Amino acid sequence: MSRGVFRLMIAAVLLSLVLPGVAAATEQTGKIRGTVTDNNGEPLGGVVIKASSPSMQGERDVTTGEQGDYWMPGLPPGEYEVTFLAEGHQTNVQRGVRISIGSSLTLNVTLHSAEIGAAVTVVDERPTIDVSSSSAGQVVTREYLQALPTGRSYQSAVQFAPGVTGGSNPNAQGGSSRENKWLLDGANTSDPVTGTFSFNFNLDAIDEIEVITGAFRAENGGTMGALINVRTKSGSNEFEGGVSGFYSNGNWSPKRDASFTPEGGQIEGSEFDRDSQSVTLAAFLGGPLLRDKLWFFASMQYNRSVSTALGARSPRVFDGYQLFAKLTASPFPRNQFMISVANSPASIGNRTQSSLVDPDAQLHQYQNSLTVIGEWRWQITNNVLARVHYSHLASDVDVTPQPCTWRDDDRFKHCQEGQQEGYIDFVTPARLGRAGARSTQNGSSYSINDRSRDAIRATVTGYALTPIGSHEIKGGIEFDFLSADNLFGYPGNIRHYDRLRDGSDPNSDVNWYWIERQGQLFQNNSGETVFAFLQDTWEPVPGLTIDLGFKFDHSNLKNDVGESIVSYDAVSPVGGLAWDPTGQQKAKVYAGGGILLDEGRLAISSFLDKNGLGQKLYLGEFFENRGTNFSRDQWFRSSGQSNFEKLDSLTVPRVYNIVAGFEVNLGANTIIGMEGAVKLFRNLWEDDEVNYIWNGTGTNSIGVVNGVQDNFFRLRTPDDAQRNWFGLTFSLQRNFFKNLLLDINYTLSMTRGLTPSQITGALDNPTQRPYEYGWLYTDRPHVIKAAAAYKLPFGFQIGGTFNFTSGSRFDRTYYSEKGGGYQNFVAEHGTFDSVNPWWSLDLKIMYRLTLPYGKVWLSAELNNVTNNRQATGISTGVLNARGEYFASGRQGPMSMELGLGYEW
Amino acid sequence: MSGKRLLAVFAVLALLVGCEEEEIEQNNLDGTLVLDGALVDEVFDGDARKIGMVYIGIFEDFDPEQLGYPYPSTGPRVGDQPIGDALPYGGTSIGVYSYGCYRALACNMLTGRYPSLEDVLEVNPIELEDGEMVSAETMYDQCTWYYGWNAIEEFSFVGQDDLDFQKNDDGDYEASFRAWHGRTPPGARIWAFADNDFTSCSPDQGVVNRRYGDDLNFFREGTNYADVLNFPDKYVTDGDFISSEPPTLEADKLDGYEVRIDYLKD
Repeated sequence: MSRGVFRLMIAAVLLSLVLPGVAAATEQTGKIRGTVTDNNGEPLGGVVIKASSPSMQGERDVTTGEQGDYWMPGLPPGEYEVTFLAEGHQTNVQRGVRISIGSSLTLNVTLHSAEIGAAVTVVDERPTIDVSSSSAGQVVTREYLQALPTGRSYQSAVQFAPGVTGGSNPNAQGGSSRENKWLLDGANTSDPVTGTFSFNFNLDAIDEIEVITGAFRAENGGTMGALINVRTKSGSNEFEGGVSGFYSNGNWSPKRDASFTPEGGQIEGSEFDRDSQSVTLAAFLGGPLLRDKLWFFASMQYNRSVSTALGARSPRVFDGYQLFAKLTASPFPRNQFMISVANSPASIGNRTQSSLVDPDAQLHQYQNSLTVIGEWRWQITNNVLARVHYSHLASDVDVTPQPCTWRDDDRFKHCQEGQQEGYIDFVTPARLGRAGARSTQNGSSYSINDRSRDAIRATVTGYALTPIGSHEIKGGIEFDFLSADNLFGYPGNIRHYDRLRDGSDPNSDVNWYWIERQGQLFQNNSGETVFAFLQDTWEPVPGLTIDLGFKFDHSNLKNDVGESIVSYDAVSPVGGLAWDPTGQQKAKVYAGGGILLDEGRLAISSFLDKNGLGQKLYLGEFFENRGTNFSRDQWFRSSGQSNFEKLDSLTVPRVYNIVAGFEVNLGANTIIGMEGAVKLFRNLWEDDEVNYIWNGTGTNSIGVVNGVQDNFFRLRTPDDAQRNWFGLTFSLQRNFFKNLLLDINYTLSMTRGLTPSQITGALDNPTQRPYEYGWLYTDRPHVIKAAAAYKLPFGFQIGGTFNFTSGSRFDRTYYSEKGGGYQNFVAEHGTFDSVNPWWSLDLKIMYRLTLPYGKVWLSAELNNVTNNRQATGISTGVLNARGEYFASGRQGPMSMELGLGYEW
Repeated sequence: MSGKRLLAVFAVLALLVGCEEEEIEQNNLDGTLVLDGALVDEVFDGDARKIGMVYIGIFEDFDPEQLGYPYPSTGPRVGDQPIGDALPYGGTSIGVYSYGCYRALACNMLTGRYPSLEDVLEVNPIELEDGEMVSAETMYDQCTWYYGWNAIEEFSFVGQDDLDFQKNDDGDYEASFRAWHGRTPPGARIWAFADNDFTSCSPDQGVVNRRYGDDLNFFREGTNYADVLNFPDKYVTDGDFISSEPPTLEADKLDGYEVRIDYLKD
C-alpha cells in the first residue's frame, strides 16, 4: 500500500469519525427516517419518536431536530410499532412497520394539536418501496422461506433473485461461481481458497437472506458477482421453539432417459434414475435469558441422505450436522453485543458418482466449518453509530480413499484381512480408468486441507442535516487474514492409469502408464486483504437520494514460499441515485453503478506455488514399452506448479457495473418494476502457458522456448480476458397482503466472453489468432422465475415456484467453449449445437393446527412435478456416436419431501 | 484538506483503480516467406501442393558451419551427444499436419495446400482394402460422419481460396506468416525450413481416433513432434528446403521481414 493512499484512507475514516451531528445505520439492520410537521405544515422539533418490536431488545427513541427531521438507524429486521409524542399534539402510532436488512423507510408524520395523550392509531398500507436505494437485488424474508418449496437450502433461496442462475454457488449476472461474497450476519464467510460458500445452515435459524447483484454501495465492495448476506434469528422476549422431521424420496417416477453416456440417445426404461432418500431432523429454541437484556437462540439439524447417480456403482452417503447458537445482549443503553457460533461437520461417503468407478476406488470426504462471530454496536449519540465486528472461520476439507467396511454389501469398499472397520488405505496405489476403462483399485489421492479466515471490521455511520440537505456518511475498514494448509499425496506414492485396449470390450483394460511420486506435499498459502470505504448518502431535496462512495482495496495473497502473487492497492468509485417522483414512496426511478474489484482468492496465489511433487512417468502395457517423447523416467515436477512467472504489474480484475430501473406500487402492496443492468468484466485472472511455440493454427506445439518439454505458466490479467453481461428484468411483486404472496420476474439477458471460471483456461495457449468471444454455456437469454403462496382457510397454505430457462446457443466456432479449446480451434463454420430450454414446477402445501400450546404442522413438497429431465449442461469438446454433444447434467427427477413439526 | 480537495483527490485516484500496463515481453512478428521457384520446379515439377510443412523460428543467431548446411546457433555439443538445444524465442509454421479421415493420410498431408478434395486425392490417392479407390464424394461422406462436419468449409485441410503459397511474378512461391506471442530481440535471426518428406510428423502422436472403424480400436491421427524448432537437425533430411540467409531482427521492427528459402539439402 503506498503511503499516500494509506494516509488518504486514514483521513477518510477519521473524517467520518469527527463529523458532527451524524447518526447511523449498519449492515444487518434497517432504518426509519423522515420529518415530523404540525398541522400547518411547519417542521416540529423536539418530537420524541419511540420504536419497539419483538425483534428488538428494549425500546429505541430519538428526538426530531429543529427541522423536524429524525433518523433512527440500527433496527433489526422485523415488524415495528413507531410512536410519535409531542407536547400539545396528538400521539401518532404507526403499527405494522416492516423493516428488512438494509432497508430505509421514510415515515413522514403530521401531528395535530391536541392534549397530550390523545392518540391516533394509524394502521395503513405501509410503503413497500425503499425509495432511497439504487442497489439491485432481493431480500428473501422468513415468510418466503416458510411458504415456498426451498428444499430447506438457503443456497436454493438465493435463486429467487433476478439475474441469478446456476447451482448452489450461483452465477450472478454473468459472474463466475467463485466471484460471490457470502456473509453470515454481516461477517465474511466466503471460502478463503475458492470464494464459494463455506457452510451449510439450518433454515430454521435464518431470519432473512439479502442478495445484492449490482449497484453496490461502497460498504459492500469486494465482490464482482453477488453479495449474499444471511441474517440469523436472535430470539425475543417470548420463548419459541420447535422440532421437526423431514423425509424425502426421489423414487417417485421412473427414469425418462439415460443419455449421460457418449453413446447418447433417449433411453426409455422402467427403472428409477437414482436411488435418493434423505432424512432430516431439526430443532430450535430461542427466548429471553433476561427480558430486554439478553436473548438466546440455538438450533440443530441432522441430515442423512443416500443417493446414487445414474449408473454409479456405489451410493453417495451424506451425514451432516448444522449447529448454531447465538446470544444477543443489550446490557447498557445504546450498546448491543452479539456472539454466535455455527458448526457444520459432514461426512460424504462414495463421493465419486460415476459408472466407471468401482466401490474399491471410491473417495471419501470429511468437511467441517466453524464460524465464530462477535459484534458490538454502539449508538454513540443520536446521530452516530459505531459497529465493530470480528469473525473467525475455520474449515476442513479432507479427501481420502473410502474407508473400508466388513458389511456384506458389494456397493461399498470391503476390508481386507487384517484391516479394521473404517480402515483407510494410504498404501495401495490407485488404478484409474481412462478413455472408457473403469477405476478399479483404491482412491486416487488424499488431501488434508485446513482453511481459515479471520476478519475484523469497524464502521462508523453518522447523520447530519445541512443547508444542502441531509447526509448519511459512513466510513469503515475491514481486515481479513486468510490461510490455507494443504497436505497432498497419493496412496503408495504411485498412480496407475488404465485404458481399454479394445474399446468395445469393457474388460480389455490394460495399463496405459503409471506415475511414481516422490512422497507427499505440504503447502501453506496465506495473505491478507484490507477493505476501506467512505460513502455519503445525500438527500438534497425530499425524495431524491444521491449515493457517492469510494472503496479502497488492498490485497496481498501469497504462494507457498511467501511470495506475494495477488498484490494490489486500488481505489474505485461507486455511486447511485434514486428519485421518488410521487413523494409518497409509491414509486422510484433509480440508477447506480461503479467499479467492483476482485479481492482474489488463495486458489489464485496457490496456482503459482513453487513446491511440487517430483514424479516419474513410465509407459505401461498399452504402449508395449515403445519409446516416445511422452516417456519420462527421471524426476520432474508437477506441471502447473514447477515453472511459473508472475508479471510485476497485474491489472486488478474488475467489473464496470451500471444499473437503472424503476418501481411502481400499484396499490395493495403490488409492485411492478423494470431494471436494466450491465456488467462488463475486465482483466480476469488468466494463467497462460508461455513455454510452447505453436504451429500456424495453434493446434500443436513445434518447439519450446526454455528447452524443456514442460509447462511454464504465467499469471496474467490481460485485456483479452473479459466477459460482458447485459440484462433487462421485468418484475411483479406482491407481498403477503390479503393472504397472497406473488413474485414473478422475467430476465432477458446476453452474456459473452470467457467461460466463467476461477482462472480462465481459454487463453492458456497463445491463440495464433485474435480471440473470438463465443456464446457461453451460462448464457440463458430468457429466464422466468415465479413464486407464489396463498394462505387458505383452516390453517392451510399452498406455495409453488416455477422456473423457465431458455436454451443457450452453443457455437462450435468459438474455442472458449471446448475443453480448453485450442484442439478444436479450426473454425467449423455454420455448425452449432445448443442446450434445450428447461423448466420445472415445485409445489408445497402446509397445514398448521393450532393447539393450546403451540402449533403442529404438516408439509409436503413435490419438486419437479412433471419429472422433466432436460439437459442443464452439455459436455464440451466431446461428441457422442451421432456427432452430438451430450448432456453433462440433467434436471433432478421428481422427488417428494414430507415434513412434520411442532412449534410454540 | 478541504472537502472539495479531498473529493478531487479521490476522483483522480478513482481513475486509476489499479489499472496498469501488463508490460509483457512478447510480440507478433509478421513477414513473408519466399520459396525459390526453381527449387519447387526441380523437386516437385512445379507442383506447389507437394511443398512440405514450413517451420519458421526466431533464433539467437545463425551458424552455417556446424552441420554443413544452414542452421541456427545451438547449445554446445557434449561428447557424443547430439548438438545442443537451439532455444528459439518464438516461431510458427506454414501448413499444419492434418488428418484426412483415412488412416492412409495420417502424417501424409497438410493444410493450406489443396483447394479441393479432388486435389487431395490426386496427390494422395487412397486405395481401400477391396481395391476400390476413394472418390471425393466418398471422402466427403467419410469426413462428415467422422467429424460431424456438415459443409465443405469445415474441412480443415481444404483451403479453397486461402491456400498458403501463391506464385509471384518472379516465379517464386510466397506465403505470409505471423509468429505469435514471441520474444523479438534485435539481432536475432528468422530461420526456416520446409520438411518435404514429413519426417517431423509422428504417426504415434496426435488426436486419439476413436471412430475410424467398426472395431472401435484406437489409433492416433499423427502430428508433428514437439521439438522441431529446438532440434531441427533431427528432422532436416535430404530433399528439404532451407533458408540460407536468414534475416536479422531490427529494433522496433515487427513486420515486413522476408525469409527466403533457397537451399536444397541433398
